[in-house]
Amino acid sequence: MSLLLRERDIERAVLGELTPADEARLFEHLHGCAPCQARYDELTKVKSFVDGAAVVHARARARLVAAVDRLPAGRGAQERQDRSRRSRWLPALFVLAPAAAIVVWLAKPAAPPNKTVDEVTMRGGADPTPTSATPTLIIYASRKTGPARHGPVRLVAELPGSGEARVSLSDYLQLGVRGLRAAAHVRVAGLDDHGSVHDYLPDTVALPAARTSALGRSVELARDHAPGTVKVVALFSDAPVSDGAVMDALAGRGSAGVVTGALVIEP
Amino acid sequence: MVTCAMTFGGGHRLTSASGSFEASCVCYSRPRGPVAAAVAPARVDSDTEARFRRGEREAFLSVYETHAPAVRRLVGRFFGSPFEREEAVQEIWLHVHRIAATFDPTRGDLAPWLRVVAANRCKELLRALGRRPDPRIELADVHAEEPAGAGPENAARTARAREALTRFEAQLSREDAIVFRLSLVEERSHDEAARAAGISARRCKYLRMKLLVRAAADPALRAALAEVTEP
Repeated sequence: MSLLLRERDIERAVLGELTPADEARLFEHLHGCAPCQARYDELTKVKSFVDGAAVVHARARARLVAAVDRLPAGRGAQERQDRSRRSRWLPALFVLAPAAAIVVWLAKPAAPPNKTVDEVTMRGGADPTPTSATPTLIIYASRKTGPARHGPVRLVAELPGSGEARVSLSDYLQLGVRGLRAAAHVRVAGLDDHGSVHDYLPDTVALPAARTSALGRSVELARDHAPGTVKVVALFSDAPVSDGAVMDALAGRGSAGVVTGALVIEP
Repeated sequence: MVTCAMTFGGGHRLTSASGSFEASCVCYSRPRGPVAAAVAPARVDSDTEARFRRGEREAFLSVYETHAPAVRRLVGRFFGSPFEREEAVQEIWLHVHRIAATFDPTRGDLAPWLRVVAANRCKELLRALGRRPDPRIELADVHAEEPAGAGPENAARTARAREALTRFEAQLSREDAIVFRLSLVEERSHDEAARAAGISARRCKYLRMKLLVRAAADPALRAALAEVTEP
């Protein structure tokens, strides 16, 4: 787009004459263009002063309504229900999971070491592999800087190596995995200080790759976390990872194929 | 033991708080200071609050209508640029919509909760941009008692800007002055402004844009507006 057209767009945006789609495009451009942003500020200051910011307020309301309407209906309530549902079942999980683990352990025939549910069989079945080849869970974090913008992406942890990751409540997390030698089921969960279990990555099949592979969707910590420490476990297996295996791992049992670390969430 | 991390610095004594719950009550129920004053005492009824917590769209918009001016004023303390301010306001209200269910009316009113959410989000956005919140925001919080832009100094600056605007309008032709007043200042429709000026609506739309650019280029008006802290 030429500079002249951009200038016209800025003037029309300040006067509230742009369509929402054009306005969104212009605002995206303004985030990365200091001269255009300065021009927008200059014109907005004049317009807001003469009209008591009527256009700015009307435009802000229209943008917000459009953004809210794009969200799933009743999202806040849904989150609340999800949280209370998790809380309701949590005590039962802590009682049932150890019992289930004991039953499984008693009933299970002697299995080869690499064939249990939560073992690292993606390395190549029974092939002996050096311990240094343990798959690594990578945690990246990025902070939201605007409705559709994120700050720089930081590498905050390589588990089990770094042990813990320090992140902020306003961060978004993206998980990745490195060091797989074959396709494997991966599941990542966390247990916070309040006893809530967070399913960060439902059972997902990850493929071996030379570089780090991103897994799942990003996790918005502000949605259902509070400042504190979250124990994080990543389970790698050649079979789908069950809820019981996750609960065992969170309880510190069944260490084969489990990568453990911690998220320290700061306010 | 008081473990409350004050969101805004300064001189407020926490007398009886033990544990994080009470501490956080004290933290967001604190009634004084300009940041407190920046959020107007406007309230929504408890039914609307309850629906707001459940994530209902209409209740959220009702809360927005009631508290938006105060939140906007608060955001103006952190961001000088109108563009950044608009983006921050959007981000804050979307954040409020996301975390509406976490608002607990038994721990305090909605306005202080919004104030804390907004201020914390502003600080986070500034940090994400690699900037630090202006320390004067905390100083003003302790000493001043009125919303930003309401002090005598800013009133004088605003008066100077109004004078500059009057001088600018006086330079305009009759046609331009009518369009400027009706279309740009009073936000009347193009048809209405065009009828008053005796021109076509198309020309009115053109003049509106030209007059905005001309006003922004006026040196006296620019200088006067540069001193006004809050639009």
